[in-house]
Amino acid sequence: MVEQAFFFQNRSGDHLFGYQHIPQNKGKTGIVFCHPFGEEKHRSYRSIVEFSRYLANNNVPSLRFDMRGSGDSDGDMVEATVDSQVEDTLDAISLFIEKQSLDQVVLIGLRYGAVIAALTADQDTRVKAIVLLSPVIKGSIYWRELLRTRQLSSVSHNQKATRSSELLEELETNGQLEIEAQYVSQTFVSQLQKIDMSNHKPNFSGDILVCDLANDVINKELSSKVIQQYSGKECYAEIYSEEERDYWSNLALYDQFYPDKTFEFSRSWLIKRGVLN
Amino acid sequence: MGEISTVISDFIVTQIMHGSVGDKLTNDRLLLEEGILDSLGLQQLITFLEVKYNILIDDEYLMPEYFTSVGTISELVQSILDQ
Amino acid sequence: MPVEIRTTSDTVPPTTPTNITAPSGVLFAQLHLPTDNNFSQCVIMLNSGMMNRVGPQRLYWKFARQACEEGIAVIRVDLAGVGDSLAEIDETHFDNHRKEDVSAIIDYVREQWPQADIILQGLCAGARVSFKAAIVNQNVVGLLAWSTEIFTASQNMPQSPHEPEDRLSDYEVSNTLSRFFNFLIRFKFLSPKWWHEQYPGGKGIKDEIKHVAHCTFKALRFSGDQSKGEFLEAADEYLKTNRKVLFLFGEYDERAYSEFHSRFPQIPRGADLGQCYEVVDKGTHTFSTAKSQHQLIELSIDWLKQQSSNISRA
Repeated sequence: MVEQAFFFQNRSGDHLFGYQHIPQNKGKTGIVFCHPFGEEKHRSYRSIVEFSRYLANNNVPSLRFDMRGSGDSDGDMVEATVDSQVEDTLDAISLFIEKQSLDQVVLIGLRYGAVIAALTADQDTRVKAIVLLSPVIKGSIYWRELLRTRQLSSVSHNQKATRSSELLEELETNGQLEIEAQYVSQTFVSQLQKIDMSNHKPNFSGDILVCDLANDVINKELSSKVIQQYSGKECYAEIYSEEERDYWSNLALYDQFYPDKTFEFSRSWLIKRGVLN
Repeated sequence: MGEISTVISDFIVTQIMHGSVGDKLTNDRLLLEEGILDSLGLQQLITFLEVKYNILIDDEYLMPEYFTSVGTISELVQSILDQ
Repeated sequence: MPVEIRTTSDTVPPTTPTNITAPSGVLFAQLHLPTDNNFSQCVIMLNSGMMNRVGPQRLYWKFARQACEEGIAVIRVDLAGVGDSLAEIDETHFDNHRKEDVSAIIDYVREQWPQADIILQGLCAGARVSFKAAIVNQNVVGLLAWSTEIFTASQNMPQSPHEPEDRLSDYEVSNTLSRFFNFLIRFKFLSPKWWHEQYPGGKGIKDEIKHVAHCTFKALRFSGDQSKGEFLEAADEYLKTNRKVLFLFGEYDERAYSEFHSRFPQIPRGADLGQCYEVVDKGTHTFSTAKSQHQLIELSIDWLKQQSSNISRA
C-alpha cells in the first residue's frame, strides 16, 4: 500500500491538499472523503485517516482532501461557500479518477461533509454511492449550533452571551461573522440555512447509506425522512444505526475513538450493493 | 430536582470530564470558574438538555449565572419545565 | 513505508509535505520555506495533544503562514498517532508525545538547514514535550511555549501517567479551601437534604474530607509549589541555562497561568526578554478568537525576531 501527500489545483487555481491511500490491488472504484466543518474536521481527522487505512488494507483506494479555506489548503474560511465546496469535491473526484484510472467513486461524508457529499452526487454521475456519517440534515439547525458556540464562548468566561440577533446583524452589516476564530461569509450562511436534506429532491441515481449513532435521537428521526426522499426507482437507500460514541466532539480531544463497526459495516454494505468488489 | 442534577452531573462527568458514571461532581462545584465547562462543553450540555427534556434554552438564559454549577443548571431546567 | 510526495500544480504550492523517520515510525510534516533559502531560524511546531499539525482553529497554519512571510521557516509536524503520521502510539492520553521523536525532527532540520537556529513551539502538551526534548538537544536555542500545562490533573484533562499521582497546585488548594469556606459560612451542613443530594448513600464524603485536609495541610506549610515530575524537572533544568523561552498564556486560561506563576515566580513578564512570559488579552487555552490568535502570533514572531538579532549580535 502506498500513501501519497500532494497538492492539486481546483478550477479557481487554488492549491488544495490531498492525501491518497492506494492499495496494490485496487479495483476501479475509489472513495473520496468529504470532511466536516471547522473544529469537527480537526477533531475527527485521525479517525478518518484510520478509515482510509482500513479501506486500503482491504484493497479500496481512497482520497482525503482539504477544501478551500480548510486544513492545509489555500485560502481562508471566509472564501468558502457551500457551492465552492461542492466544486472542490467535483475537482477532487476528477483528479482521483484520472490519477488512479478509476471508473467511479463513492463519496463518504461526515457531519457537514455529508451534505457536501450529497449535493456533489446530485451533479456528478461518476458518483455511484454515498455514505452519510451522522449527517447534518437541517442547515438551519446546524447554523444555530455554530452561532451558539460563538455565544457560549462569552458565557464560559463569565460574561453574558451576545444575543443571536446582534450577531446576525453583525453578519449582515459586515458580510462575515467570526465563528471558531475564522470568518464565515454571509453567502455561506445563506446557502447553509437553505439546506434541508429531509426535504431535498435528489438528482442522484445510486445507493445511499445513512449511518447514525444509536443515541442521536434527533438525527435518527430526520434520517428516516432523508431515506424517504432518496428511496425510489433511481436510488436504493438504507439506514444503519450503531451503538458507538462520537468522534468529532470534545471527547476526541483527549481520547481518540475509531468507530470500527461503522467502518466495517459501510465497506460490507458497499460490497453487498456491488459498488465495491 | 435531584434527578435532574444527577442527569446533568453524569453527563458532565462522562461526556466532558472523561470520567465514569458514579464518579462524583458535587452540586456546588464552580463549573465555569474551575474551567470544567468551556464553550464547547456548554454547547454539548445545552443541546443534550434540550433534547432530553424537550425544552428550548433561549438566548435570555445564556448567562453565566445559570451555568455556575450543577445546582444552578438544574434550577434553570426545572424553571423552563415549569413554564 | 515512506509517504510519496507529489504535486500536480502548475504553480508552487504553499507548503511542502515531507516525511521524517523517527523512533516511533514515519512522521508527516508540512514545511513552510521562505523564498530566501538562507533563513536564520526554523520553528518546529509540535502538536497540541492529539490534534493535528493544522492546530486548533487553524492556529498553527496561520502562525506558519505569517512567520514564513517574515522570513522564518516553519515545520508543522504530526507526531506519532496524530494526523497523517504513519507512526502509531499505544498511549492515548494527551501527554504521550515522545521526546525521542522530537529529537529526530531536530536532527532532520539540522541536516537540511544547518544554518538555521532551531526553536521548538508547542501548545499545551506540545509545550511540555518541547521542554523534555530541549534539555537533551543543545541545538535548540529557544522555546515558544503556548498555554503550557504545569500540572496535568486539572478539571477536564485526563491525568498523565508520566506524572506523579498526587499533584496539588496552589491554585487547586486555593479553590478547594474557598469552596470549603463557602460550605461553612452558608451552613449547608445543617441541611440533611443537601447531604443526600451531594453524597447519596454517603458516597464520596471520605474522599472529599481527605482532599480538603490535604489542601489545608499544604496551605499551612507555606512551601509553595515545589512539585516534581518529568516535565517540571525538564523545565527547571532548561531555565537554568541561558537558552530562551517565551511562555504565552490566554487571559482567560487562569488556572494554567496561575499555576505557572506559582511554580515559576522568577520568570518576569514582558515579551522582550530572553526568558519571559506574556498574557494574551481575552485569550482562552487554545486562543479560540481571531483577535487573540492575531495577538499571540504577533507576540511570538516579534519575540523570535528579537531573539534572532540578539543571537547575531552575540
